[in-house]
Amino acid sequence: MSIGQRLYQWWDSDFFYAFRTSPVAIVAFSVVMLLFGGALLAPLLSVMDPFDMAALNLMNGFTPPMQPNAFTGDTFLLGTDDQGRDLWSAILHGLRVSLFVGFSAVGLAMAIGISLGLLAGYLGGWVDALIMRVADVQVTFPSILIAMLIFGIARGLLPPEARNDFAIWVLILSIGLSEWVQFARTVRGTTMVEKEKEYVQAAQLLGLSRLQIMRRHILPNVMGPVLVIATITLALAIIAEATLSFLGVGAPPTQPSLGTLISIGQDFLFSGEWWILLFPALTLLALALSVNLLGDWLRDTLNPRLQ
Amino acid sequence: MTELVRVDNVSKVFDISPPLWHRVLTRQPKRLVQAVDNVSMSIEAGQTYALVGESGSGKSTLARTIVGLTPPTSGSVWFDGALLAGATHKAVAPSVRRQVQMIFQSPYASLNPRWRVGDIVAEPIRAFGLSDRRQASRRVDELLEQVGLASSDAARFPHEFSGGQRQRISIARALASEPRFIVCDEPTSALDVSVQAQVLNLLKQLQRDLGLTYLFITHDLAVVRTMAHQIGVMKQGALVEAQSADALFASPQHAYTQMLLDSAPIVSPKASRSGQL
Repeated sequence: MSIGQRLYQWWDSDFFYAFRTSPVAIVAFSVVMLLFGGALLAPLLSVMDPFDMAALNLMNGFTPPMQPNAFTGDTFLLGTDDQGRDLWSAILHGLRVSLFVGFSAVGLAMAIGISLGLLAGYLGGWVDALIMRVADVQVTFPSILIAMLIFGIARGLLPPEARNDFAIWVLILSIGLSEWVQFARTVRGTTMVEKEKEYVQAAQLLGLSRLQIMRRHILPNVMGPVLVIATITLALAIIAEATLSFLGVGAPPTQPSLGTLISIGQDFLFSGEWWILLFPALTLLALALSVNLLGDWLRDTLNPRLQ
Repeated sequence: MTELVRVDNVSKVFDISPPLWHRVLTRQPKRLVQAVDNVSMSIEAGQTYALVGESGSGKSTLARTIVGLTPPTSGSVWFDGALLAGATHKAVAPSVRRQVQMIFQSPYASLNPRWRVGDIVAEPIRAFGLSDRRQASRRVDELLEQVGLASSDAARFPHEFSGGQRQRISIARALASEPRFIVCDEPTSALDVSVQAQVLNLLKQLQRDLGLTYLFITHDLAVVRTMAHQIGVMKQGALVEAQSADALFASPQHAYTQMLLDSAPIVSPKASRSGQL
């Protein structure tokens, strides 16, 4: 099959038709792609390196958007924060951190949730009971609380000089560990339906091991719903990261994420420097909203019962 | 005639009682269902043994027990002198397992929807290490042609096929490990009447060509008539009558068998007058 044919087949598919005809999906996807692009090209698009303390000029602090600074005469598109850090550059780099943490955390949650869900659904019995009770206990705690708990433990275990370097990884670990339950539950349910199907029995007849059957037969059939949950969880993870960073337990100020920027901006909201809070907050809103809308659209499109 | 499969006093009891803690709290006794009750039978090589009975009579459970999908509570199943299924968890040799295959009822659930037909048919070949990759793909083409499909169908997905074609794919997969004994669990009950005949004829032809032995689970007496050499009648888990097909249709011994034969719909008034189905 030629590439042209393949492209046409893709363009003509039900899935892509649903996308082409849904304005919400197109807008949400465009916003997400725009933000992704911004994050990827951050070093090229930004005016300065916001992590480089030496490049900051304290005299540029609190410059309003699109106005020349009273002392230096420099103009910044979105203004600067208290340290004279260009907000446009800071947001682009913050977006990078937020997206990296979001994707990694969802990846971790998926890996844990899918494995445990497959084991619980396929093996049943006490394995199922154990995994699902752990999941039940976990959902009774708010995920932010679990994340803060893990964060606290990790800080206690790490030497003080390593804390900032490992902050991002602790963040990923804590969000990943608090979001796996939904994956596990969904995968368990789908697995229980799939394992009763005769193609699984046909595989059992061949003497394949349970692990082989789970990986080769059941896993490909549970990925549909997992994809939908992954998208919605991505929005949750980005917000969780922002919340943790806002609370001061997330990304360190030397490596600010959107949440860190909002947290910094919050200090100056009542003294009139509104832009330090507003622009990072708007970016977070746009990102979380469009990822969420995309996830909702994906759920509606891929669910055969709603078609 | 040589015996290929022997079923020795096989029983299967399912424990359907609620979880232990619940049972203790509510002081309920254990609830057991006797799905298969001390069944013994013998299947001759190259013949078709039809197992008939109404829904819930335990015929599908017996079939699943024979192939080893569910271990029996007691008793054992022997294939050509080797253990095929037993109450003790003794591993069945791959060389024995390879010779026993199963064709399932639903042509929709029996093929993995995410796999290409070629991979589905090649799976038994790979699982038993029967040939290398290139030979395997040639063997898949051969098998697909043998069941009346095209070798180009290997690249397609199951949802692109009709029910009858899917059942042919199932048959091709079952044949892939070169089995001698195939258990068919109502292989035509989910198909259109016109397609049923085609699939039955294919199975008959394969039996002639490859010398296959079938255990045929069905509740359709017309299917039994065309396929079976031997017939076993099951009721509430027990084998109440086992005879050659001609003898059973001519003079059913057990009252339940007579009732079963009488309840079959009559195809034509003429046939009913001459006493045939």
